Amino acid sequence: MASQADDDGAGIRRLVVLLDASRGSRAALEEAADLAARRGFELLGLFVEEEALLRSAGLPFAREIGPTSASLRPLDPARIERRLRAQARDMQQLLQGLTRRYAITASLEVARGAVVAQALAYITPTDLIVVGKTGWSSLRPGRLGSTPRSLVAQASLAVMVLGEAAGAEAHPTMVLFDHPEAGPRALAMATQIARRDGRTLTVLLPPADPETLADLRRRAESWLAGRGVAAEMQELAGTGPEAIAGAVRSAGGRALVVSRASPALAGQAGARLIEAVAPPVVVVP
Amino acid sequence: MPAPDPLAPDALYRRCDPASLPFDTTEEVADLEQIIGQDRAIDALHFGAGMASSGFNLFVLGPNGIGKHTVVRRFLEERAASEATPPDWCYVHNFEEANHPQLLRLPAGTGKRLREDLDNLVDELRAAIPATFESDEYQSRIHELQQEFNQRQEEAFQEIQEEAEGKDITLLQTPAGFTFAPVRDGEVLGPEEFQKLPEDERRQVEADISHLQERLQWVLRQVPKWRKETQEKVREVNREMADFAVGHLIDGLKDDYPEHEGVRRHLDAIQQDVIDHVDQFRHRHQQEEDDGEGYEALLRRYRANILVDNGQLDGAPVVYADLPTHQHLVGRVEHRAQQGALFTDYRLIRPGALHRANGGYLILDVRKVLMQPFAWEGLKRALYAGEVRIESLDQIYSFLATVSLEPAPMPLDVKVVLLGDRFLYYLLAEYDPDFRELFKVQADFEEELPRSDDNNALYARLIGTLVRRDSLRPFDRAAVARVIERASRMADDSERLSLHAGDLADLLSEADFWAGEAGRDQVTADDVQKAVAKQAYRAERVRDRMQEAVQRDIIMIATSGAEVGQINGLAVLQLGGFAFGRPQRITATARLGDGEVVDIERETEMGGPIHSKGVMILSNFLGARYALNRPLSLAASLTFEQSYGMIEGDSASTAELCALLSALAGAPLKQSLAVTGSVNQHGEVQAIGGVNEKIEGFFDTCAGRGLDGTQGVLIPKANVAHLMLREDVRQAAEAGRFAIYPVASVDEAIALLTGLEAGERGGDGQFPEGTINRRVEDRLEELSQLHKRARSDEDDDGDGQSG
Repeated sequence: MASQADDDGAGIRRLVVLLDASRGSRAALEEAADLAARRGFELLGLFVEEEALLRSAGLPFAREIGPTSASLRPLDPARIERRLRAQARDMQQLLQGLTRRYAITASLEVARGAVVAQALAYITPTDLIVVGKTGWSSLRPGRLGSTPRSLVAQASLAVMVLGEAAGAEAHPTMVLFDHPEAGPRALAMATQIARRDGRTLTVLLPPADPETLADLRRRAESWLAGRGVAAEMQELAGTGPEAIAGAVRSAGGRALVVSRASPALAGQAGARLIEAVAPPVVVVP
Repeated sequence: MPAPDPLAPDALYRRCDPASLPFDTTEEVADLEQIIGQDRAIDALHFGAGMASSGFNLFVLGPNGIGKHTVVRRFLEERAASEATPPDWCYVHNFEEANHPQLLRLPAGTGKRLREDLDNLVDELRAAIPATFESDEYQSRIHELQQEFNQRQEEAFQEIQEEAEGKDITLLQTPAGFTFAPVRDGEVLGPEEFQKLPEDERRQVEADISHLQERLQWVLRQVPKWRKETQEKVREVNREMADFAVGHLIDGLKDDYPEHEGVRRHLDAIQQDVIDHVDQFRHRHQQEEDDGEGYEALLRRYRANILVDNGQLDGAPVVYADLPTHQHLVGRVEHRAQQGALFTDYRLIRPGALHRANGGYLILDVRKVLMQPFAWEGLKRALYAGEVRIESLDQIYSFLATVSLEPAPMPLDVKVVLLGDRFLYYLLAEYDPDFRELFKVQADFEEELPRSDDNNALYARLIGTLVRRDSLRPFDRAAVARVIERASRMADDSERLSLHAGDLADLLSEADFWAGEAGRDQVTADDVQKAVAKQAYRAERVRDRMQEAVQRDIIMIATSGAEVGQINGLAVLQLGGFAFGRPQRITATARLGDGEVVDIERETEMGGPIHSKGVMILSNFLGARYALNRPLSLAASLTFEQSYGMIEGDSASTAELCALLSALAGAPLKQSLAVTGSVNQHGEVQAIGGVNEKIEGFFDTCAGRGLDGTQGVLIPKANVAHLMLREDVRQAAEAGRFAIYPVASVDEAIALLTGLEAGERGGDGQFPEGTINRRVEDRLEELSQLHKRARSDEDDDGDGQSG
């Protein structure tokens, strides 16, 4: 049955978590391990050693600037190599701990190259990519990093962008239903999340003329009919990132599911939406 | 001089005629409104309680059981009822110095209201503060500030990034920071690629990167400053919101206390404190429930601890502290154990008796105060300072050097009334210089009341009052008369009545018990008599054993015949509350010597100083009367036979003198008589104590052997007024089988004891031939001659030897 395949969220079996050694990435790994345990997914940690960084470290004038101290330090490839290896070891240890704690199947891959390219090379159609919201933009709090930005734009499968850790309370899973064709895919992912977590579903509908709105509502309702998830419809006040983020915040949403085809993800606004929404954002292809 | 006659039976006991009492039972007598027989003490109480000046505290003197406590309490309660009710006192947290809790003074009854108001305030704050900080308004204001900060940072980095991109340079994240790297065709250049660039370009790239590094460094250095600015703004919003959240609550409360500046100031301080600690209130969810600095801990500081609540009081307080320890007097600060450590705050301050009595009266037993370590010093300190300072002994004496509370002292306006024995008053007056400064008024309780018809009537009302107070059966008039007679015996004086309320109440209760045993609904004279007899019976085991030892001749007491130099003295033994008399054989010897009368008791250190004094007096009497013009060449000794304990008092000195005169005159003394009385240097017999017990003691000994009509007791004439003898003694006297002789001088006594005339000096300065005095004088003369001869023999021997 087609609907069953939809329910399976395009048949996700594995979570691929992109790792560096940052605090955010450790938190993302923990979050992913929790998710994997609850849904019976495999977990793959992907630690990419940025080739560009290694290259640039060889430049005679290469310097590292401390983000907190603002101090300038000399940089050389050997030192970078050492540190990256140490970080990979740390990640390995962390992953082993999580494997024991959550009783999941997990592995770590260490690759060298460009992060996005490596990630895209590793994924298979049954993967869900999990990536932290901020990359080097820890200098720019709340800003979407270049890696998630590229992945959201390029990956052929669902990408979950992790922001703040979700609260333990029973908050609804939010889904943006603003596209007649892509909407059901987002709805399928959201339904899966909501059902597995035992949560309700809130379907966000964009402001539109009554006819379009009624059409969207009808489509959503008919898709949801008989799937056993308590859902409510909510009309958005606007289509901008702020309006959507505001709706998620005031409902205390646990996650937002958006289709990549959604107009809300188009252009700069897409990045702003992911930045503005505090809980994880799952972008489905 | 004729020997005195025995006393008439009616002199041995002063009856109280039931017919003289104007009622049938105590049900008919009105309660006694005033306190009888204590006019002087009441006057002093009146004065002391009314004197406002400091130091005019009271010391009420009198023995235990006299009823001081009841009288003082009743007097003070009556007085206090018409006085102003003192204020309530509350301790509250001191927000400036947490170790020094503040004291608030509030009109009586207002303390409780304030406490409730502050409790309500705390409840309201608990709801209002989170509500304010969870409001949309607050959230969006904070969000705005955060956004502002982010944007500022963002813009700064954006500029750098844009500049970098314009110069084909990218920013890369390193494991511990950032680095700039040149980019060509979307690829970061490695060292080889870089080296391939023209030198100008290489130099340009280096310069650009150096410039960008500097800019990034500058921005990074600004970030903490911007963050601080943002935090300051957030704090300001927090304060504003907190002010809004508590402001109206506090203002509402302040309106309820328009007259109380202290309360209003405290409320302002609470408001300021909420604002100052707004962060803790906001993060309450993250705080442990009982964390020292937690949310609830903050709220706890806004409550009030009522130290003294006079809300229920009508008039001034009268407080009696039955265990006046230092802490119970000046209060204490308690501690609460928390995970093995001790904590305290203003809420654990507990009042002492001084706090509770402030504005009124504090009654204390001085003996108890003196027995409690540091209590007396603590009391004096408070009275001198005019304030009560709650300090533990640990603090004062530095046993413990931890930080503790020093609560603000309470101004003291209290009248302290000490109750105690007279000797304690005189000891304190003698040895404690502060005492006279602080306790200037003495209220000295009488122990007796003169016996008169009027006073008998008052006494009957006192009995009636006690009967009703203790819910006893009514006493009929004969019973009351018997109680009055007993009160006279308790006073050891037929002309006085004992005011010892404790003993009186005991007697009444016991008589009531025996009436109940007999199935009577009124107490009769028989019940009173039974109570008296049973009281004695329970206490007189030792007396009975002694009498038994006398009857069995283990203790040698002769009650018939006549002996030279041997006489029956009389002693009183006091065991607990029970006193009884017993005869005591006294013997005297006299021989040639140097004028010394040896008191064997004193030599063996078994005689007290008063006894020794009595013996010295009698030896001087001897010399003065019989050996004015020649040396007293006598070596006499006196002792109490079969006495194995301390002898004190001079009441045996008449007996001792008679024994000595008998020994000198060789005149036997009648053993059927016993003698009591002290003697002075002129041979006059003086009053002694315990006359009734002494007579009864000898009577019991004689009665045990059978009274033959010759037996009797010689007592000082001055003691006749004290006679309140037992009924069996009176009956024997009436039947002529036992006699009480009042004697005024040793001559009367010796005449009675020997049956010979004592004799007075005639015109020739000589005592008549055959009289006792003549025989004594002759014997002393003889001894003197012997002494003289012995001396001259010695001198002759001495001369012979030297010659």
